[in-house]
Amino acid sequence: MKNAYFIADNIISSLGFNTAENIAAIEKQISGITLIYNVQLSAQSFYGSQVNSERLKNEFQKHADPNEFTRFEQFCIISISDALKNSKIDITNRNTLLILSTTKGNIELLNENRLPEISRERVFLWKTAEEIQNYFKLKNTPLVLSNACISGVVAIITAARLIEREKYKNVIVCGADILTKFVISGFQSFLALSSLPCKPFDKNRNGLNLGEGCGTVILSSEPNQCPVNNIVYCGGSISNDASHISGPSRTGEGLYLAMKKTAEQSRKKLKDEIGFISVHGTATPFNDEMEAIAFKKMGYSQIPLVGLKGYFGHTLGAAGVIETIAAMHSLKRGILHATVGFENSGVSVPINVISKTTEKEINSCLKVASGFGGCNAAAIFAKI
Amino acid sequence: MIFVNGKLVFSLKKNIQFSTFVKAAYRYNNMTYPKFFKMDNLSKLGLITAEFLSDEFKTKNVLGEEIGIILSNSTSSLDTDNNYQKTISNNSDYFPSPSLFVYTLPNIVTGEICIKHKILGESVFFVSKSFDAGYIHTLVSDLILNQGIKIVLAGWVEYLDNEYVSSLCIVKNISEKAEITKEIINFTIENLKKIITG
Repeated sequence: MKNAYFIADNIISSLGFNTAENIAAIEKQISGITLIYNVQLSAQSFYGSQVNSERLKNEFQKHADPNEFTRFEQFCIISISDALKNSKIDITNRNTLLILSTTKGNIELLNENRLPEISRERVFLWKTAEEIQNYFKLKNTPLVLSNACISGVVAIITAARLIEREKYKNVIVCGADILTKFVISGFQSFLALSSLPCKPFDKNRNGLNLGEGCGTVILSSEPNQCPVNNIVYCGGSISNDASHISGPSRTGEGLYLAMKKTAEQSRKKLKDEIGFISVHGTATPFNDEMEAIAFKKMGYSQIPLVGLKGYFGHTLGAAGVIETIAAMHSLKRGILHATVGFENSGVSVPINVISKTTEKEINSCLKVASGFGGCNAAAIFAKI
Repeated sequence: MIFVNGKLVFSLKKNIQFSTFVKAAYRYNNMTYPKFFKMDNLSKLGLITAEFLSDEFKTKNVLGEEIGIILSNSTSSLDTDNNYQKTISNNSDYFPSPSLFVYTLPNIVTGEICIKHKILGESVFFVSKSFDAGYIHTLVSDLILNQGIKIVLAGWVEYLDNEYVSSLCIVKNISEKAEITKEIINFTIENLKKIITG
């Protein structure tokens, strides 16, 4: 069995167009969440995390004509290009695969007034992926997965397994979602949106903020040339609560199961205790409570928790990828990120939330995610 | 028409509405599952197909966490997406509902099957232009060989505008001593493709 190493990455969000810009902002505890007034997105103003459209246009012009690609596709193309720039892999080779992770992709195309020059066929996720494949001249058909809020973590787990089993040498994981009226109205109808910037795990939390963005991470069986601070995938698992399609289980049993299997699988590669947990932490009352209960069941109550939804909002299919990238840079730089929005614990069991940027030598991270459909995912990666 | 292990078990006249078809299949299975009628069509289709294979989920010595699901289709949840879009496209007739919105995710059908059969293991939903036997074979094999999963429900569930097809199979390890019947087929890419795409 081969090892799967994380060799290059990119984040596009309200905080910047590459990983360095995003990490610099997070370390300074700068949030990308603002009050957004835009009738195309919502009749009422809302707090969310939005990518700067002017800069998007300027950045994309370096790659192709912005009129020929959707906002979603532009995110993916810029993000993948930037990640590739930092790696030496040959993308036109058969041993490289692209996995695309999204919940709604080009769903804005259902609105007939949006982007009339773009073919409506591109609302199909496989067609969206084909556009990206053609742009980069990739040999293999991209693998597209759509698993609600755990999509990004599932994409990384899938990529790592394909490398470990030597099906591919390199896998590019790209997770993206954009802000649309479609998604915003849906979360509004659920009364899931916070009236203020979100407060993960806080006693005054009252919902999530939506965000848009894209994360790309390249996994490879060949580690980077510099032997310092390479990050390796240790294990991962996916589970289902089998209890409810639109709410997390009250017992945290599903997430517990995914974490338990992940811990067992990671035992061989993990030298010590898990350094910190990158939580899902949407800041809805039920999600954060469920996570806290599941951590307690695992005996993880003392492990530092880092939640990033207060910076990026919930970027859905991108969230798992963006948060994994941020966590990897925490390991590399020895800096734990603050959970912005958190002040006082508002869950029923003890937790150890990091509320200020903290320098700390750490070797490993557990990433978790949970989502609609009762799904949960967990993955552990570590510095070698 | 519904076939189980290649045998026609159920058929109604051509061009029948999905709602009529699926209700008849529900009755055929003697189901009492009121939740079924609240689901979107993709979930109804996936759930009813899984029902015909559900004896497999009751296998002795197999826990819920040892059962996995890998489904795929080409249109994701587009049928429900279109219905939901109608509820938000007109400001004077604006009525988005959470019970419809939740079905605008394709993995809800896997969630519904998990709830019905207490399946706690890995479930993933992929989208591809047509059934990709190569990828699905790789991923199913990995679940069984490396991820502690004993039984996988795998295949294709597609619903758009009253056009529908659903084709699922059960994949599991069987001991060499097990009696080989006509229903048991070697899990190869070619056989998987034949079974799912006909």
